[in-house]
Amino acid sequence: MTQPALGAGAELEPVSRVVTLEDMLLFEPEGEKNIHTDDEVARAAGLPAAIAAGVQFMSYIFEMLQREYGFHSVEGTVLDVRIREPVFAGDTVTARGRVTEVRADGSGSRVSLEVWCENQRGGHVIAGTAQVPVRGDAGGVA
Amino acid sequence: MPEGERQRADQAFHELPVGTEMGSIEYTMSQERVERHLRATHQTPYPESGGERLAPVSILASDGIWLAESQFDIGESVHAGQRLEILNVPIVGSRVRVSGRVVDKFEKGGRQFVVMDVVSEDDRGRVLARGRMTGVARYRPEGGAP
Repeated sequence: MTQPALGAGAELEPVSRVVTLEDMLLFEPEGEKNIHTDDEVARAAGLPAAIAAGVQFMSYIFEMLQREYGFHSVEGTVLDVRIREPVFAGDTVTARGRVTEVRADGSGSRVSLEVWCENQRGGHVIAGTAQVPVRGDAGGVA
Repeated sequence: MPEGERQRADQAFHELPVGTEMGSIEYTMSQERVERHLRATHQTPYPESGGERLAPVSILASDGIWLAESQFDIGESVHAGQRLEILNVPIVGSRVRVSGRVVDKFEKGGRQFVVMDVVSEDDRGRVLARGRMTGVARYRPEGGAP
């Protein structure tokens, strides 16, 4: 499926997930006990419970970008995020993106976006920017 | 999570001088590792390319953490930021080598930050990703939350 690239100001189709403790355990090495997998370790570090690894949510953003711009846009993508708020098991995290600029780049274009993941309270879990190369013959491949 | 390669030194991560080479680690981008990551992140696998299975690029976002953890006790650390430039999609079954260097340190809000540049390459000589990881070397939340 090919579709025209979104213009500045357009929002991408969000990607939303409920984060489970199983997700958090799977994201870490098997058997690892740290603040991302173990409530006791997290409490010893001053946290109320285990928190998900912040980079876990970069995957949600990568998936959102891939859904919009296609698999061929993955190579050349730059994602730059700050990790802002903790995520606990049971939280719903939604990746969102807004196009800020589209520039011609060879036979395709380069899209700049604001990207972020928010929790069910609207707090930004991670936030930053992305740059995505959109090839002339690609787009919209889920 | 390089299997069997973790060698924590009795050295404080936040005391590393800028310019310190972090050495390197290697791991296999095994099917098991990829499936575990896909399950953790609820992602759909990429299409095969040239008969080869591909790994989701988000799996590379943790490489800097594994590199730091291979040498230092970062149990008191948290990840504050990550820049990741994807150059090539990893191939399942390949070996990945991760190397890095401390490029900056600063203190903000009473917290000590360490910034590392990280490069992930595969055994075909391809650079998979270049990253810049910012970590809080010693994390002590006030009031129990970041």
